[in-house]
Amino acid sequence: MGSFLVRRFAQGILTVVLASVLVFLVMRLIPGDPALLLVGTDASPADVEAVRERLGLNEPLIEQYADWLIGALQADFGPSISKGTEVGTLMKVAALPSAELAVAGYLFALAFGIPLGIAAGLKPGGLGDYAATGFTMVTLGIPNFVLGILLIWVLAVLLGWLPITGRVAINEDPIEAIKFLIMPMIAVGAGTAAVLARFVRASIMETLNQDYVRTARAKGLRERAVVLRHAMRNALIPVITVAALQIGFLISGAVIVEVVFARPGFGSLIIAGVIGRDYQLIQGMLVVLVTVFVVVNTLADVLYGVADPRIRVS
Amino acid sequence: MADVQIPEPLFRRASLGARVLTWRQQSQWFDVSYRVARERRGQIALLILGVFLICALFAPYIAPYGYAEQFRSAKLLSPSWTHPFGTDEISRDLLSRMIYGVRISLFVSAGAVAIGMPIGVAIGYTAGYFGRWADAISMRFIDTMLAFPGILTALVVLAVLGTGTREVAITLGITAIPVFARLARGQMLQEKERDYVMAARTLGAGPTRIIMRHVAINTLPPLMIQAALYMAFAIIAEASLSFLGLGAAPPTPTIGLILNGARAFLTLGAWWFILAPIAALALLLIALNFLADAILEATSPYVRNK
Repeated sequence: MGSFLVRRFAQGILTVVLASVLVFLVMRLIPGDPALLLVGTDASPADVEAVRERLGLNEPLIEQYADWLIGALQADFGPSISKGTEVGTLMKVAALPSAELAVAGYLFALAFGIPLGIAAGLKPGGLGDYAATGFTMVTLGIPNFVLGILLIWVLAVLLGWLPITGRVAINEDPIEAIKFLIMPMIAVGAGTAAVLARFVRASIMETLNQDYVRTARAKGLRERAVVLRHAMRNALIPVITVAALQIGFLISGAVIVEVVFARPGFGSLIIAGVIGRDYQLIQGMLVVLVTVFVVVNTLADVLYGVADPRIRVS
Repeated sequence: MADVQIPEPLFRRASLGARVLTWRQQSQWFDVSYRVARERRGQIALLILGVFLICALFAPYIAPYGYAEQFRSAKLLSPSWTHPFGTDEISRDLLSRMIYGVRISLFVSAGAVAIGMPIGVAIGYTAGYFGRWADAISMRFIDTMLAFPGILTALVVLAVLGTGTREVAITLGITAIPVFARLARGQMLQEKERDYVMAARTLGAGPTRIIMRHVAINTLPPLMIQAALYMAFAIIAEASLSFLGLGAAPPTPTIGLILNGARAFLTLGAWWFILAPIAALALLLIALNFLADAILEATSPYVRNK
């Protein structure tokens, strides 16, 4: 188990470092002089040179990267060119609303997708199976941001149940905050829920065909005990990996959904970065997002190893 | 006068069925297409995609009006005979705008696959066939690119290229490279151990001939499935990016831009404004997913010949 952990974490760190190098190099391809963008075109050449010096743009690339990496490890991502403030400060403000949405969307996906998959898997061809298939079809044809618009139309405009756009902080008014969160949560989580439902369904159907399930039935256990104690526990182990991989897609989907619902967060920030060609901002945000993604996947692998001893050995 | 015997032709024209069989034996492309066209899901997919493709190719002839044409006192009209999908906030016909919008969706997604698939497959085949350092280096690179989930890679590339329809197509082409490379490498690793590759090598065939003439044909179906699925992803990504204002600039009609414009008018009850883009998007995506399913059904040995 020890060497498994070490190997897995080393791999994760390598991926994050390589990803940061890749983003760093690609961002240098942005045409135009960042210093010129920062001070404006009517500044004197001496001013531009001073800013270039301050941003470290005159140093060799390797040195620039090392400086940036050392700063990033201390949560200092440098100044944002388009916004004029520190990237770290901008991200700190945006992190809470984004995390709130991602967590809510993920919980929705788990709470909706897994039971649906179980219902479908236990009775193929039954009502649950039809519901799962129908739900999958809907999410295939309607991407997250479009689902968001449809939800706004039905739940907010036609029925008037929920507020349309914006966000209220949880600690200010919990009930209002949840009302604002419901539609974005569904929009972000629906796709993941469908993937989980499909995977759980297949996993349960496969497990129910295993010999040990037949043995459990043969020794006269009630169906409830067979399903809950024998089949389900084994069927849900591989779900851990799939569920973890989905987090990355959920986060990237949240970027767009946030814009649909005019919520503050990483979404509006990253778009401002792309439009303003703000290399510092994009660089900082992407490395943070990739780190989150890699950490989650590594944890999932470790958890998988804990849940299934066979993985640790092989 | 004796009856004149009309001689039987030595070779009768082969029946259509027999000729189709020969074509299927001669061309893998034809065989897969033939099987796809016989699947129910394949038929639905081909029908929908065919209609959309005709709309896209002949948009100027099919669309009743121009996409930027404005009509006097026709602001936000609900669907009618003159404007089947209604009009938008500055009095433009939504049906015409949708036809041009679908054209952009299809061109961008087909362009993305046309750019990314050959490059990705070439990298994947090379890495898989030669192994060693070629494999190690390219796979590290590809795994790193795949560490950015969903459209995040596209956002990075767009920051460099700038916004616009062509830029989005190129961007989605670049993000397709690792997807196809990963798949092609896996296929190559599987195939290169097969006896037919060994046989070809024994006969003196070089790597290029083995890859192009032997392995490529045998790994075609999974790559075709991936192409259909990536087109679906690219259509969503293009709609998302133009919705966010990072794709085409107004007044160009794209599904994303129309949806973004429609959002503000939902509260005024303009439901038709979102209806056409959502329906078109859903049909396109379902059709591409059906096409992928049908190719799998048509080529997987387990479900084949049933």
